[in-house]
Amino acid sequence: MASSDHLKPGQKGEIKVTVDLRGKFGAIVKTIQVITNDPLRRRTNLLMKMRVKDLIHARKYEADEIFKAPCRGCHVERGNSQKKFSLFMSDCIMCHNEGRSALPVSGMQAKAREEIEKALREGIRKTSMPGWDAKHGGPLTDEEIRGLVDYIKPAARRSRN
Amino acid sequence: MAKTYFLTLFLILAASSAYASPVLHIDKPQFDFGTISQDDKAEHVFEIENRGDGELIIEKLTPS
Ligand code: HEC
Ligand code: HEC
Repeated sequence: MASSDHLKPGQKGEIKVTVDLRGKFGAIVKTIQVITNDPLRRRTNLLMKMRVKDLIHARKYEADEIFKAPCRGCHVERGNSQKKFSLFMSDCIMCHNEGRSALPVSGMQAKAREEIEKALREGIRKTSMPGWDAKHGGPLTDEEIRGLVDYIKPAARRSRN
Repeated sequence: MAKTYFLTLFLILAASSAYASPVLHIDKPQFDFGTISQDDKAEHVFEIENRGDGELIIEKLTPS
């Protein structure tokens, strides 16, 4: 890994690191501890960060492709017969979470219920948010949609602001 | 007289080499690959330098 393990005063060298990504997924931090005879600091850490996408997710897709095979197995079917919170955790959390591409629930609550419902039913053009109701080719029933809106922003909250 | 002078010089040299010490310097010890695909190769070269006055020996590299 190191170009040479002895460096004279003033000499430069290299440490080459290769990370094997097979089977890796998500946010990864790799550290490498370098132990030398530097009397003041025997141990130094090298750090590498990355977000690994698996082969399915490496490509760009149209928003509504998650409703089709082979994507729907993970992106739709896990939410079958789930409601409200558990439906959100199955179908939405992969994008609506801290560190993801879209707002977490706490952030969405700043919007009006009507706005939330419209975005959920129709999707948002030019983003990865597809329309989830049947009229827009989505997998969710009216009841499921209303349940999600209630979970994201309970009706009672509206009267307070 | 000349002999003693030579001896002192020699001693100073010996002493300073006993204190000579290597200093490992790494300009950028952190690297962010950003988003990469599983079939990419994540490869990076860290530049290191010995900024001390003694020989630097890399004894071991342990990945986590
Ligand atoms: C094996 C299960 C699985 C399959 C199959 C799958 N996904 Fe995903 N997808 C996930 C998970 C889990 C996440 C959460 C993101 C993460 O952890 O990186 C995700 C995240 C995503 C995201 C959001 C990434 C982001 O951070 O905004 C998109 C877009 C996406 N998938 C599209 C697709 C498409 C299109 C397909 C089909 C070609 C597909 N997925 C197939 C499990 C799957
Ligand atoms: C593949 C990723 C993805 C999935 C899955 C997804 N969303 Fe979104 N969603 C987005 C993106 C991207 C936006 C637009 C963010 C912006 O305004 O730039 C968005 C916007 C929204 C908005 C409008 C408010 C806002 O944050 O801008 C709501 C409401 C919403 N999504 C609800 C949901 C619900 C409920 C689900 C689950 C049924 C869901 N989303 C699933 C990616 C996703």
